[in-house]
Amino acid sequence: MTIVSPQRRGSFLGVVDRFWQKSGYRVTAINSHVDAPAIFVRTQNGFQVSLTVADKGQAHFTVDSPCVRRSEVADSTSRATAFLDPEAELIPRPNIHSDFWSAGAPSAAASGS
Amino acid sequence: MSGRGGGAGSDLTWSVLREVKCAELEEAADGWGRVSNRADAARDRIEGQFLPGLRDAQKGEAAGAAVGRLRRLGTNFQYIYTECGLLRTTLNSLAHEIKAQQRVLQGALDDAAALKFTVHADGSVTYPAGGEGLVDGKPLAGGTASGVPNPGMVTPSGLVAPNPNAGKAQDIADRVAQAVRTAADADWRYTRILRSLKAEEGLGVPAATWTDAAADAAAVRQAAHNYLKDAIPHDATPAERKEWWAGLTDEQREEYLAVYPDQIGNLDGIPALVRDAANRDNLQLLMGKLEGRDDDESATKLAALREIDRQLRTVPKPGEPPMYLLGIGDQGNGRAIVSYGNPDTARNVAAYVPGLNTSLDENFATEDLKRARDLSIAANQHGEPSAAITWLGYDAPQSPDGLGTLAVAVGGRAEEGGLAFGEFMDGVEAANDHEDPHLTAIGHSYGSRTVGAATQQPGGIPGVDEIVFVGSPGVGVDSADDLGVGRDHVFVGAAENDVVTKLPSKSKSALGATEMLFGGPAAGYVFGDLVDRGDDDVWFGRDPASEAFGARRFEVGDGPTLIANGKLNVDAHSGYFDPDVDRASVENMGLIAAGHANRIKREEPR
Repeated sequence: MTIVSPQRRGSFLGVVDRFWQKSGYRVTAINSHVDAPAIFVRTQNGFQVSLTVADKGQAHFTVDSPCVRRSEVADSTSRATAFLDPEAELIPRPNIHSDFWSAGAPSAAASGS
Repeated sequence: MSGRGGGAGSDLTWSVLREVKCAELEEAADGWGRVSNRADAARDRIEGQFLPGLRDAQKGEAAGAAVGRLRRLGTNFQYIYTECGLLRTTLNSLAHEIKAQQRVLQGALDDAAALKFTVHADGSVTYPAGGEGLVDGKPLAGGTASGVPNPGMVTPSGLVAPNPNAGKAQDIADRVAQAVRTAADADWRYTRILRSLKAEEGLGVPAATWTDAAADAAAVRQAAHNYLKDAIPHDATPAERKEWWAGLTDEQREEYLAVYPDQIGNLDGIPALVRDAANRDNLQLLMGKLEGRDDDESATKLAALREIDRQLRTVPKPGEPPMYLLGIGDQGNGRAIVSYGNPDTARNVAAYVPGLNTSLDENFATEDLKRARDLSIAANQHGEPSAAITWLGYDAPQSPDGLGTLAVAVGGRAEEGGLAFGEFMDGVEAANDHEDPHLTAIGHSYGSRTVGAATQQPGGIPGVDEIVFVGSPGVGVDSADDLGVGRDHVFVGAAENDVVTKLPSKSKSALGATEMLFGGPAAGYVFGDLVDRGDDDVWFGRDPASEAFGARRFEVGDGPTLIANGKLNVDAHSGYFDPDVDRASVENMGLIAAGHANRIKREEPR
């Protein structure tokens, strides 16, 4: 998971925020706390979309659909960009360095994007 | 002997009783115990390794059929585990009772030997001449005394010659007769139980078999009462219970788990893994018990138990919290306590108390449990390891039908629930591995009144650091300072359109006294607000979202308006936990539960 340094978080959320606003999504809430910044928006057709920064700077991007009939949800067909231990109970914390997004952060062992 | 032995006209004699080798019974019990343990291990392997492996690696009809077969095999092992465990305890309990009677018998025989009395094969006791005759001063003739199993029932004639040996011989004979009678009774009872511990022919374990297993467990429990149950420390503190469990041998633990899964599973203070194992077993027995009934209430609870059972069998994917069944029961409106994440190893543990009209039904098993699950996921994103619990450990009030029941009965439910919740949290703290775990109590709707009641117990809610109220109709106190954690650790979520958080106080508006749900409170609010505009009193005291209450209010969505499309809509009362409705609220509660309350998105008090 890519390390987004505290210095880059503002621009990270800014980029996403601008795109969402341009797409016509309505902002429902914003948390501007420096350690847990978050944007919550709603699309015109009722999807709730959010970007939250959580423990150790891990970013979480979430989409919740409006009410639908209960049904089986297929697994994602796209491969994760980083290794995820199938036994993992928890989403791992950021461990991949990016020259841009991780700028200013203490460098991690792994490098790449 | 004169006393008939046993309810079944047993021909047991004292010499046979003396020779019974209880050690052999105990060895047999150990053998059944080993079979039971192996079956348990085999089931674990099937459900923990084979099934998930097969599901991940194989698709198609053959895999589907294999999964079905393996499931059945797992159920077979579960059944073997339960029944063999019961056999083991039945044999141990029989040995326990027989040994007690052997000791009584041996005591009597020793006394007889010391006095040089003779105990005959039929249990009668011959004594020598002794004492002095009243008339001639010669020793009184010896004789023979026959024992009776219930000596108090035979009154002495008063005309018996006072040979001092006669009384002693009678006492010995009575003790022999009692020991034989009691042992024969035990033999008869246990024979019946052992005969009933039989399985149906074939490999299927249908519902009827589980119903039968539930009856078996009940029979063994009753018989083994003296042998096991008295030692379960129900009156001890959770910390003492933890110590008690830690001090048992493996064999003792296995027996408790096999015979009293219902009690061990719900015993606050013992490890979560033990409670989980006990409750998963008890869940099968409870389903069996309810499958044997045909009333609506049983059907409702059964649907909930089946749904919980289904979820327990689902293998979590990466990033999904594992599920622990910390409590289950069919008493009252039903009980279920489910943790997402291991509450013993988690640094942060949050417990959510649901409110009005919550009971053990299918909606609870899907929706209320999902609330803790979503909260666990959010909390683990903000600080790990975290566990979140849905706690239905009390009878929440059901659709009250008027002011009388609402005002009186409902307060009592909160008090009872508050006591039980306090003890549960005490147990969470006692069983947790961390020095000072971070605990959060969350009350929704009427559940906030229950949490409020729990804070009023001496010492407050044990171990709890943060308190969260959402959709609260009042918590029974007027200030955040009165909850025992300091006002900075009390958090309130109140949606703009949630009428329950604005229910007018009962003293202010008679109109508020209509039914509390749906049409009731909504109508009550609409009219009540006209009477009571601007007041910060709600149903159970001061509005916790008000400035005067002094808690920290956090951001939640407004929720849909009360009247939408010409219809009453109270969805704003139930959105706090649902990420698909109000993710900001779930995130905020996740931050609080993870110990990062300083990072929440605040909202101005009302």
